[in-house]
Parts: sequence; structure tokens; C-alpha cells
Amino acid sequence: MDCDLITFVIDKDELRSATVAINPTLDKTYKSCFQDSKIQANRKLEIESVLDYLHDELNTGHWSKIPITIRRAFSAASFVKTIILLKSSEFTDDLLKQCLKTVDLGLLLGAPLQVNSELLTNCATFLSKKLNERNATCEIQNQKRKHENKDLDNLEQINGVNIDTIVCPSLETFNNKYFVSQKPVKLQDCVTHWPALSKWPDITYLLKTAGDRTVPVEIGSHYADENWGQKLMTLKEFITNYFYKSEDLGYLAQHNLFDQIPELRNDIYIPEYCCLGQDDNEPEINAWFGPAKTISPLHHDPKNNFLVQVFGTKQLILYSPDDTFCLYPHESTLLSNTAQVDPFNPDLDKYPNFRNAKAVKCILEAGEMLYIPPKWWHHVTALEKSFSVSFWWS
Amino acid sequence: MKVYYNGFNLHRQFPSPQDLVVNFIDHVYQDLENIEVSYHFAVLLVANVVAFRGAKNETIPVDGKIRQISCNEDKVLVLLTNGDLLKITESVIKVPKLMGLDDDDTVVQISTGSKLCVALTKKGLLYNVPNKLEFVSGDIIEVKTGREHCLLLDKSGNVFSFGRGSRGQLGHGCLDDESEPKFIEALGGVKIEAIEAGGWHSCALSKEGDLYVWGWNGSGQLGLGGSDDGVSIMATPQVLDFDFNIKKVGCGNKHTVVLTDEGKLFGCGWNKYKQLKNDENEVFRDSDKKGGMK
Repeated sequence: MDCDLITFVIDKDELRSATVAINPTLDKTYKSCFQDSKIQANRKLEIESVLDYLHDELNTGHWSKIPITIRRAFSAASFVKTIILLKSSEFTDDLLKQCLKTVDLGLLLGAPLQVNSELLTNCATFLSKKLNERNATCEIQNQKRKHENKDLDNLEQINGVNIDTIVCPSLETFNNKYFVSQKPVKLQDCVTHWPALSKWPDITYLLKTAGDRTVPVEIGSHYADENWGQKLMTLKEFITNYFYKSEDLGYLAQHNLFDQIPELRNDIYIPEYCCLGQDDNEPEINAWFGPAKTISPLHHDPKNNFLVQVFGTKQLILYSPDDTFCLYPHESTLLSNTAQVDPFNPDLDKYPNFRNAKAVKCILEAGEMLYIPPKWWHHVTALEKSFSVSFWWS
Repeated sequence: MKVYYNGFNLHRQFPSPQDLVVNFIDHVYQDLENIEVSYHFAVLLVANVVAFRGAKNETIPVDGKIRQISCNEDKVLVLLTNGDLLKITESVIKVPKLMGLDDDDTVVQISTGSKLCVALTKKGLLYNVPNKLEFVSGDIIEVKTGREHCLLLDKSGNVFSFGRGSRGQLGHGCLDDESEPKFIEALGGVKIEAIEAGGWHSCALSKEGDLYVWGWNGSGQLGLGGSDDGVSIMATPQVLDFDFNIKKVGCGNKHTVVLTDEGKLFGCGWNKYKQLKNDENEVFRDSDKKGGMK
């Protein structure tokens, strides 16, 4: 088993130097972890301490400024820990799960190595498959998603117009009518070829493909709420405890699930309109998966956004950047892209200009795609259990 | 000096064959003046010698009389009584004279974190080395740094903070960073006698023996309750509900230890490496599920 994983390694030296470059004292730890065929008990402690040291480094400074070397070291050390776990413990389902969690943490917090760029992804796919083979029957039955009561009345109270809808426009039409003038629009029949549309509503498929994978989940009604927090859990735990139950609101939000799990990436395609962007980078793709009533409070993002609804219905309120003065952005730098006013419950004494805000209203159904231009404010509510995919591009 | 030790000892930071020291052990170091502990090594100050024990085993003689050592991760900073600053890495490097320092002014106190190193001068200038801060106060008596924030205490018992605030560690009720020391208003009116900074959390001890805590509580290091059913971030100082008067406080990266006026030790926070646990004497324990100091 451990040998199977070691075959994924293309360059052993890269793994070693990734860790040692951070701190020379880790060299001894690293070497023995990797070379010894029998693992002494204290090796687990060693690699744990290396990972904890790196984890503290990952928690220091702004996430975007963490040196790539630290994140690569974390990936390399996560792989080494996986090998040590497999070499030192009895082979059980729990051990496999522990290994997969280790690899997933490496994928979530680390960064791909340069030569061994696919190492952790390959390990995760391998371990996930192994676990699946051993547990052929999936414990969670696919609960039929009942027709949910969509509470649409709310939208009526909002002052504004309904969004333009267009059926699969040509690149030229989309460019001339919407992209150039930075106008939001709902596009229909653009993603009919996505395998995700037929596969993902079947929750068993998601569980089979990724049930044991660790994902970040936002707990609490929305990110600007003071009780908001983020937890790591397996997709299966999320589906059982949050997707099918609604005591605590949990939302798998803004997570790059598709780099982590390539099996799911194969079920979607990048919208061709993204080629209108200025840079050659691939769009940033995020998953938004959760129960009804999840909310993203009124905020804006710096990039163009295509929001594709895979299943369920979402309700969106959009405001032009020209209306910013009506929306009262938070003053703290962290939340400066988030409005203080709640469009569904506006405090007009505190935020009098909100009266003048003109919304663009949108109900986004499965198979539809919404174009949100950069800097456009948007408030998103899931009216049903929902899975959306967003593409940020510039 | 006799030193008691427990916790992580994989690199033999302390003379014991155990990888994890669960129960306190002690050792007498001859002529020891101070000891600092980092991830991979302990740093001993013995007369005019700085000695590393652990993953690095070196003895480094220092030219001049040492006033203070401060270490964080692999950084070790030495302050001499004449105000010179030395950085010990592979070799001993003298830190260039700080800009804007008068000839008759010297550094009298240092504290180093992983992202900042703060120096206080006799005349009350403060440096986030090598940059001089605008803030000047002749009253500052104590400087403590976390990994990326800094606390200051003045002789009237006021506490100031600056640096990174992402986990509420500055205590100003928000998560914003501050580039200059800012008075912590929530502690106004409380006479603070000691301050201590953990990795991302902060403590202030009042004259009456009350402990105020704020910052990151992800491992239960504030003693307010674990992250599971308590708050993960507390951006405003909170007084700890605790039965004893506290005399002294110390912080690890993600744990806190207090000494009561009855001479008992209590701890809360991260205990993966047994840095808190000592069942035999029943003075150290895990922070329980509901959290709180035990």
C-alpha cells in the first residue's frame, strides 16, 4: 500500500529539499521518515511536529502572503506523514481515512510541488478508490429531494427590475450587449452539455466520488455574522449533518473543490465566454454546495463571475457599482467589499440612501448561468438545497 | 538555577530521554541566568555564553555583558547592557545601530516574534527593528511580542498594542491591523501589572490578580472554552472567571499557563505535546470540553 503511493513520486529530492529548505533542523527528521523501511514509534511524533511547525507558519501573516516554500513544505510533509502512517499502523478503514485526511489537508493548505505537482491529488484519488472498494455499499441513502417551498414573496419588496435573460448568445452578442457595457445577464442553455447537471443531483454519486474527502464548511448564517466559523469535515459528514439536517446552517462555500478532486472537475466545462478575459490564466473555479437558506450577504468581487446553477434554485439581488453610496460598505479593510445594509431588512434611519438603490433581481434555476460583472454588488440566497459553480475570470 | 520542564522533548531540548515529558522533571543548570524555549531547541543564558540545546547544540560566547535574550522559532536576539543588539543565526551578527537613536540613548528591552522584533530605548523610542515607530512614551516598562503582534505596558498600568490583528490579538474589538501602538480601551480603568503574548493571543494581569485574555481561542488558549462550543476569536479583553488570584502568567504559541498566589499552576489550550498535562501533581490538566482553566 505505502509502496503504491511511493510510485507516484517522480522526484524524491524535491520532496526532501522542499522541507529542508524551510528549516535545516528538519533534515534528519525528513530523511529517516522517507528512507527507513521500518518506522519507529517516535517517527510519527517527528513528522507531526514538522507539520505543526509548518501549520503555525501557515497561520502567520496574510494567507496570500505565505511564502510558497512553506506551503510546498506542508504538501511534502503531508505525503511523508501518509507514508509513515501506512508503514507504522495496522491496515484498517480508519487508517485509510486518516491517510486520506492527511493528504486532503496537504491539498487544502499546501501548494503543489513543481516536479511532483500531481502527487497529493494522485494519492487522494487512489486512497479514495481503495476506501470505496472496501465499503461498496454506501451508508447514506439517497434521500429524495422533496419539492421545497420556495419563498419568493421576499423578492417583490425589493425596488428594482428583473434581470435580462438571453438564450445561449453568440460570443459576439454576449460581448457587445453585456460584457463591453458591464451589464449583468442570465444565460440559458449554455451548460446543457455538463455531465454535472444529471450526475450531481444524485447525492449518492457525490458520496461515492468524494464522500471521504475533507472539505472546508462555513458554519453560521453568513460570513459577516459574528458567530461565523469554518470547520473541516468529510463531504459525507457535511451531507449527513448539514445538507440533510437544518439545525445548524452549514455551507460548503467558495471552495476550489475541483483542483482538489479532479473526478468532479471532469463533470463541468469552463464557459467559452471566459475567453473574452484579458489574461490567459484559467478562471478560478469554486463550488457552492449547501442546504436551503444559505446566504451570501451583499458584497462584490474584483473579477468577472459566471455563476452556474447545477441543481436547486438561488435568488440574487444585484446592484450596480454606481449604487455603492446607497449600500454603506463596512469600514474595516477586511469587510470593505461587504455592505452594511441588508436589502431584505434595511434600517432606513441608519442607511437612508438605500431608498435610492435600484436592484436587478434574478431567480437562478438549475441549468442557468448568471453573468455578474466585476464590482457589481450581489446578495445570494439559496431557496432550496443547491449546488452552484462559480467562475472568476479577468 | 533549577528548571522544571514538561512537554515536547523530541530534540532533547531538556536533558531527559523522553520524547514527551508528561510529568514535570527538573534539572539544575550551573550559573543559569535565563532560559527560553523554541520549537527545536532551548536557549540557555549562562554568564556571557548563549548555549543551544536540542536540534542545535552549540555554545556561543558573546563579547560583552548580556542584559537580555529573546527567541522565537529559530531567531535568537541578544541585548547587551551597552545597548548593542546581536542576532545569532549561523554566526553572531551585530545589528546595525538603529536610525534616529541619540548618542546618549540605548536599547533597554527587546522582544522578538516571528514577523517582528520590537526594541525599546531608554528615552522611550520604539522600533519595529529596524524601523522607528512614531509612538514615543517614556513610561513603557514592558514589551512583549506574539508571532506577529506586540503588547506594551506603561507604568500607570495602561496597555497598548500594534501589529497584526487578524485573530483579535490586538484587543481593539476588531480584526484590523495597527501599524502604531494603540491604547486598549477595554482595559481602561484597570491597573495592569503584567502582560504576556502568545502566538496569536494576549494576556494582561491586573493588580488585583485578575487575568484579562483576548485573541485566538482556536485551541482553548484563552481559558474561556474550547473552540468547539466556545468562541474561536475574542477581539475584546475578557476577564477570566477563575477562583484563585493569579500572580504570574506565561504563554506558549497556543497555550496559557498561570501561577496562583497559592503557588499552584493551571493551564489551558493546546496539549498535543503534553505541554499542560501533569496528572501526578494534579495541578496541570487538559482544558476540558467546556474549556476554562483547570
